[in-house]
Amino acid sequence: MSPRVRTWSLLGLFLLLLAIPQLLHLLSDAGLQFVGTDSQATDAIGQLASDYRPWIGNILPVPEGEMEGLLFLLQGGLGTAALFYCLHRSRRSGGNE
Amino acid sequence: MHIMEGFLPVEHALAWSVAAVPCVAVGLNSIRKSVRRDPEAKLLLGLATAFTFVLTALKLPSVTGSSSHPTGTGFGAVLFGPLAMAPIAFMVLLFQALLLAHGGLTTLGANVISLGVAGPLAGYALFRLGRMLCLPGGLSLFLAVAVADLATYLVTACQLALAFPEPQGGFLAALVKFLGVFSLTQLPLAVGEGIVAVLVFRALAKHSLGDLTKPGRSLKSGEVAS
Repeated sequence: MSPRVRTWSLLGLFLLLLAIPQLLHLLSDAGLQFVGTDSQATDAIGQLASDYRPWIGNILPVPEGEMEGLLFLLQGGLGTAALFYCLHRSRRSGGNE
Repeated sequence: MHIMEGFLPVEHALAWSVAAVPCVAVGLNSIRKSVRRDPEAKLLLGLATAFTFVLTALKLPSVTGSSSHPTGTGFGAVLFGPLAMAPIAFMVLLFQALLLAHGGLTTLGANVISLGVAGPLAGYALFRLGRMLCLPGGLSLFLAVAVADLATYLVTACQLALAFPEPQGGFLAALVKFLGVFSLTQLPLAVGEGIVAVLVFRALAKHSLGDLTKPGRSLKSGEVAS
């Protein structure tokens, strides 16, 4: 297999992996509702130690709903930009070798 | 996941924080050495940090109907050795705890241990094992990254089970419960993370850094790029 074919098939495999859960849930009655493992773990703590109360809260208020999505998107976007910047820079510096 | 703010009892939070300090210190030292040996490594370190930064921000849906995020630490561990990842994880976690209310300051130590120490160590060990068994470089990288992801969640589950043992069954019963939350959800994400790491490495190896076997680097680019 040529490197290019291999790269594309890896990419395809990855996208498939992302798409399958979405498809499964579109087909089921539940609709697209994904519960985060974070909140599931918090629930599990509630079952194991029902009298436990977090003894300290977040410094900044927990962002909710769309704001949370936006912040996570921003983080992902910034990181991706940095990632491609590094790839680009290494490409230039590597060209001289 | 990162353990949320306040969701570890005071003693546990303190103990994990104390444990995390030397790990970060040793990691900083290891990074300093890598950079002194090879100034170009700075760029790669930035790349490894960005990779972890992005992947821990991705809350991806999984087949179980839950969503979770990958870890991204196995990639840097393979490039720079497992020690370098503790300070990187610390930076990423601090940012997320302060600005995103994802994780927390009191649980920072515990999260550094799972994300920045345990995951990278497990991933790196598997990578070395893969190379010893003469597996192809790409496959070794894939396995290392996937296992680093899973090991991180395994350790998180242990930390939670230690803090919240089941009244009857104790630590083990609680561990099973927490693993039940993570394991199935995390499996496809770990596989996906492994694939992405191989893709990023190939992009890196194809155009630049013709040789990643400089001191402190453990992979020949040709081994993954072909």
